[in-house]
Amino acid sequence: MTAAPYNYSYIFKYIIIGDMGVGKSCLLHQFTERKFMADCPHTIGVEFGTRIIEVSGQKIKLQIWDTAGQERFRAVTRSYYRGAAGALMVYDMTRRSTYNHLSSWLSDAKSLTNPNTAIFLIGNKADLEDQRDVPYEEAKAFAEENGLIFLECSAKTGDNVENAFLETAKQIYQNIQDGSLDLNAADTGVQPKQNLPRAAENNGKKDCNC
Amino acid sequence: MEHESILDFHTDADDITAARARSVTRESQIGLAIALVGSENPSEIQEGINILEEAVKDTIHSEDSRVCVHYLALGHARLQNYDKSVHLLNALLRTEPANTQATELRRVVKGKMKKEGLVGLGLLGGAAALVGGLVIAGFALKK
Repeated sequence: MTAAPYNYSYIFKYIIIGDMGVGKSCLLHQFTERKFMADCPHTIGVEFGTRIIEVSGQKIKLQIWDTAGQERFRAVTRSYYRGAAGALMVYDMTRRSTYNHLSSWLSDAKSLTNPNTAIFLIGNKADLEDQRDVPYEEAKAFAEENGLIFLECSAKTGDNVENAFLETAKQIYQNIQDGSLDLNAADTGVQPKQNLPRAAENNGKKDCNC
Repeated sequence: MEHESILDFHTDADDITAARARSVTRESQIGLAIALVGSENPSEIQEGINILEEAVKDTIHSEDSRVCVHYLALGHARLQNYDKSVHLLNALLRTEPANTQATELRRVVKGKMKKEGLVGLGLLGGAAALVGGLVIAGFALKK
C-alpha cells in the first residue's frame, strides 16, 4: 500500500459484508498482505485496503471497504454500499447462524448497490472441514437462486482467497467489455484512469490511503 | 468515487431517525451516537459526541470504550477539531499500541491537520478540553 506509481487502468470499489466474526477482515488481510491475522480485533466502522491486480492484461486497482459486522455500525456501514462495483458477502461455514442471516445482508446489498454490482457469496473457514455446519450444495443452490457466484475459501490457509477477489474483478471487467456496465452512469464503482481526479494523477501526497 | 478517506462517511437521515426511535438501552445509545457522528449536520455530530462522552464515563466493557473513543476521535475530526481527535487517539494508542485502526485514523487526521493548517486550534475551547481530559482519564483508569 505504498505510493506505487499510478499505472493502472481502472479502480474498482469493493465492499465486504456479513455477520460479525465470519472473517471479513482476515480475508482482506490475507488478500492484501498474504498473511493470516490471528486474534483479529472486531472492526470498528470500516477498514480500508487496496491492491493492484491484473485482469486480461489490464492493471486494476481494487479499493476495498471492509465493513464491521456488528449491528451498531449498520447505519454507517450502509453508506459504503453505494457505488460498489463488487460485493463479497461472507458467512462462516462452521456457524449456521451466519448463513441464515445472508438474506438480510443480500437485501441490503441489492437495495443499496446498483443492478450491475457483482455480488459474490463467500463461505469462509474452509480449513475447518470437520466443523462444517453448512453443506456446500446448499450454499451453492442459494447462490444460484439469487444470481450470485459462490466460492468457499480459507483466510487462514489462503486457499481460494485470491480467486474470490480476482473472479469478482473478472466479472466486473467482463461487464465493462460487453457494455452491460455503463462507465458514464453514476455510482458504478468503476473509475477509468482518465477520469480520476487530478490529485490522483500527481505523484504528490494525498491525505487518504488509496 | 464517493469515499476518498475514512473520514468521508455519512449516515442517512432515515437511519438516524430509526436509531433515535430505538434509543433506550445503552447499546442502542452507542448505536445512535455512531449514526450521529456520520451525520452531515455538525450539530448532530456534536450530539453524538456528547452521548459518547457520557457513555465512555460509565462503560466497563473495554470493547465499548475502544469504540466510543474511536468515534469521539472521528466525530472531532469531522468537526475539524483535529488536535482534539489526535489527542484522543494518542491516549487510545498508549493503552492499545497494536490498534491498527486507531493508528490509521491518526495518520489520516494528522494529514488533514497539516493540509488545512489548523494545528492546535480546537474550535470548542477550554471547557471542551477539560471534558476531553476527563474522558481520557476515565478511559485510562479502566485499563
